[in-house]
Amino acid sequence: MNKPSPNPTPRPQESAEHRHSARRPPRWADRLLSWLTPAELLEELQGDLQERFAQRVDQVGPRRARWGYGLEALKVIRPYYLRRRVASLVHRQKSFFSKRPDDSHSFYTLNYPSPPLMNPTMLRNYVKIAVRNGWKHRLFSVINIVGLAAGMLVCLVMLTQIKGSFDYDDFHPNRDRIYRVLTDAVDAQQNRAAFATSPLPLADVLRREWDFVEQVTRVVRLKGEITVHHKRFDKVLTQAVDNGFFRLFGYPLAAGQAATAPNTVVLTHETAERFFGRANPLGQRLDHAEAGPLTVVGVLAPLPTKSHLRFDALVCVSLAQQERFRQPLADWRQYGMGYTYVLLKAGTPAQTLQTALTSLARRVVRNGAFNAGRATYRDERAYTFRAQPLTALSPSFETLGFPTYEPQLDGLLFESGIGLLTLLLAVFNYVNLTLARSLGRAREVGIRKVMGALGSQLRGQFMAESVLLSMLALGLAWVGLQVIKPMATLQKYFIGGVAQDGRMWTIFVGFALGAGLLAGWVPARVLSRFEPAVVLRSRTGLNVLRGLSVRKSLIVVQFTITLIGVIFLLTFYRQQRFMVEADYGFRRSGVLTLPLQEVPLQRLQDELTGLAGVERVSPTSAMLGHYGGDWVMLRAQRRGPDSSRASLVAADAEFVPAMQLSLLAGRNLPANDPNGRFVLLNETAVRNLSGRGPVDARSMVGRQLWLNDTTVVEVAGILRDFKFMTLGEPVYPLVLRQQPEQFRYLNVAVVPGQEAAVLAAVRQRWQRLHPYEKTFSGQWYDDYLEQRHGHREELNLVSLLIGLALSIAGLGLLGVVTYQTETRTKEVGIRKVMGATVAQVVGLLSWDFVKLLGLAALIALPVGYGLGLLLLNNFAYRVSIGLETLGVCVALLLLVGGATVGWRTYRAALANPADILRAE
Amino acid sequence: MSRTYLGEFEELVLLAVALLEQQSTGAYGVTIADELQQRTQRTTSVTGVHVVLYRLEEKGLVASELGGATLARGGRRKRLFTLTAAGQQVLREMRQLRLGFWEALPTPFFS
Repeated sequence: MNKPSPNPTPRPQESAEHRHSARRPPRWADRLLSWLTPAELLEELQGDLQERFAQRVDQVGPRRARWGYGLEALKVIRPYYLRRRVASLVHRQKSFFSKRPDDSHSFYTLNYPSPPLMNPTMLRNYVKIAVRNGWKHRLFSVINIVGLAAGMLVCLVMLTQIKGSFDYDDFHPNRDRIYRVLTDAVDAQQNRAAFATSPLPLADVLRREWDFVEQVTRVVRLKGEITVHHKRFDKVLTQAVDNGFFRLFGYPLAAGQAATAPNTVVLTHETAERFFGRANPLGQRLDHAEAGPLTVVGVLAPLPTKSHLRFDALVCVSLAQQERFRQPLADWRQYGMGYTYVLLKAGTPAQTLQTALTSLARRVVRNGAFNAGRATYRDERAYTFRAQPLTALSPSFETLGFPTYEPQLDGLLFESGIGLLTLLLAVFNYVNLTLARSLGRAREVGIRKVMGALGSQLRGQFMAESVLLSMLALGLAWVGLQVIKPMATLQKYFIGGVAQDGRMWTIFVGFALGAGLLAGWVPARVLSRFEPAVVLRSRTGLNVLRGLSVRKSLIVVQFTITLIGVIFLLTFYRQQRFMVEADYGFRRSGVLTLPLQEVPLQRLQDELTGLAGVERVSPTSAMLGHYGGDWVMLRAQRRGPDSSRASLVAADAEFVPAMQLSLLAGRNLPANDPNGRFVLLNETAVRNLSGRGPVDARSMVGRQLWLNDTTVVEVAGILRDFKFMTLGEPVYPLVLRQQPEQFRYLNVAVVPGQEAAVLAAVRQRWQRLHPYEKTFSGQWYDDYLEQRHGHREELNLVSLLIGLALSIAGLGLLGVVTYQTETRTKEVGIRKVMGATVAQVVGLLSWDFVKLLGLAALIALPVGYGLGLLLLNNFAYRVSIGLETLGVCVALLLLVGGATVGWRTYRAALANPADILRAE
Repeated sequence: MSRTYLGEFEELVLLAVALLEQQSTGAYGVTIADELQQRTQRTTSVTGVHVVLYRLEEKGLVASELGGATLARGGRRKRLFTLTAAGQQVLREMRQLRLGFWEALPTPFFS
């Protein structure tokens, strides 16, 4: 059985060192043992295991012996040892708190009682040492605090946002009793989909049939513009509500009263100012394209916190009188039109509502609602209703169809992931620097241990130091937050409308505490492990740097992440500049656009055409470089298969020359064609209509086409493709048609060089025609494209984030380089005495770090390139990632890394050898 | 005195201690585990033997002292176990008990 056999097949390629390490038990198992085994039993158990290991190496070979050793170590996890630990703890506590002699039999006896864990004198000593240490190594302390603060700043923003997302709709007095009805649709394949909306008839049934319902309201979005005093305002988010809305929700009013009477409207204070300026809005009239004439009865105060509903105007209107809602109001199949909110009477459990809704949905489905016709979703066969409490609405844990504006869980997770990553980088730095400096504190640890300090006390001391530091960092981060707070993007997407209350502060401080503990954990463990005999024996040559490879890989990780971020940002930036500056295929410089409001078009057009320096004046229905016009179906025959979705933009005969578009075939639109008999198509439209065959633009001219199978038009000419939408989209089919009632903008093409003069003249004419308008809203096309596509604010925010990451990485590098050069000063001195030049010394000291940076670049460049491509894939027309992006990133890396490394190593190399070596 | 209850493995370990303490190697985790493995042909884990030994010590059946560090153990001492009087007593009682059963059995049961 145990006949000793020689080590089987020692493999020739194994180096001697490798064989040696294989003959040792696995390190992880030893570590496990030392964790799991009660301290007083560790020696004998580990000794036995190692003895057996040595036997088994000879019997079955090192591989199986190591395996067996690991298994044995795992077997320490058994109840006996746990029980023994608990017993020893209890014993220790007993010996603290009772003066009674310990006469009961126990297998665990301490020779000396431990000192108490907290002692005021020792605490004072800890603080004193911490402050002195921090002051002595000011550079490191500053690096640590600034680095942690940078990481924390990002986290504070994220925390604010997360906290804010839980505060949504906190201000409604009845929020505990409010529920929104969701619709869970099931299609023929049993796929489920949840929608935030519900059928419109539901509200009436709820109100009529169940007496536990106190109030019901629907919220339905209205389309169309609002006209005030003959001025048209588009982009007014208008929601139609039932008259119970203001009794159900608690949106605070600044002036006037709630809109409960039909045909009344309540405006937000921004909208009121937009419509009426300083004038009193109450009692004013306005006209909505869909809801008709309305009276303003109230103005909302700014909301205390954000709300999941967004609106500029709340209109109380009878939906039954609207053409568009007449059919959906009776149709149970359509559940995508509006939201239904229910306020239950006090004391009604949510289950009551849920039961009622379930039975109602069953009744509706049984009545055959889904037997015929197309419904909201694809081909649903049934649905059920679900009551969603208002308090559980934000953040949204599931994806709902037709959602309102509550923040989504995955977005929050992503953002907090970024925040934590940044913080983790900063924590790495702290760990890195503290370990690097542990040499300086090893002797302190040794002496404390000799004086009787326990490992746990030392751990506590170092953890407390890092917590202290992280509290300072929190202060700094808070100052930083106040500095960046006014950034518009930050306000809009992250921290706007979140109250800085006591809860917020509790979260911040708790977070800083956690960060401090996290950062202090590893250094505390390492430092408290020093053996007094080792650290006190020799003044030099202390080998505490075993983890150097870990620290170096941390630097690589930091720079890799930062570099990837920089590449991504730069790609993003270049794409945006491209979208601002690219050639769209139409004239963009020297074209002034004016939004047309209720002005006689002809009069304005005539006045402007006569101006000196104006080449042409042409009205359109949509701005180019935006969303395109209205979408229509373009058909070759009325019922034929040759159809294509196309964007319809209204223009006149002047449009083609004014925007310098080129005709491939046929003629321009005729000068006078008010009924829009003729149209211009672009190449893509022709290609889509002619199917697979070769594109022959000429043959298309003069053909009859159907628009939305209601209107017949004739093709006058074919335009060369130009990018009439954003560069994110490919060129879609385009139809230009003369429809004077659709005109919204006036394009004024100006002779080059005359821009300033024309602008002044146009502004003057404009002002005369719009006496009430305070601001001139004309805009050059170039400026418009810049404003539309150059997301300056977002870029700023992302740059800030990446700048923070870069500075954290730079600080980390600085710390490690500083430490490394400081420990090698003696070597540098000797080398210089022997005749090394400064350049040689700098090269020697920095080579290690240059290699690290090179490695980071090697990893980051391909990954960043891939990520950049992923981003660019979203755009139909895009920039490429080439040397100009990657080169800049590498240059940035070399600049930051090189400056850091070079500065420190150069200073070390300059030192006078006599000063360094004298101390020896 | 109520008889101390011993499981089978505990009894075997106790017997191994009794056997090995007479020999030059002494009775400690590795030798006991090896002895048991050899005699029972079962894989015996050192950790398991240790736990049993501690239990036996708590019951007062064995006593122990530290000593005998060797290089193979990384300079760690071993815990050497010896049988106490109570331990001997328990073993003797066990043997008596079993013998009583065997004698009560009819002779041709086993040749």
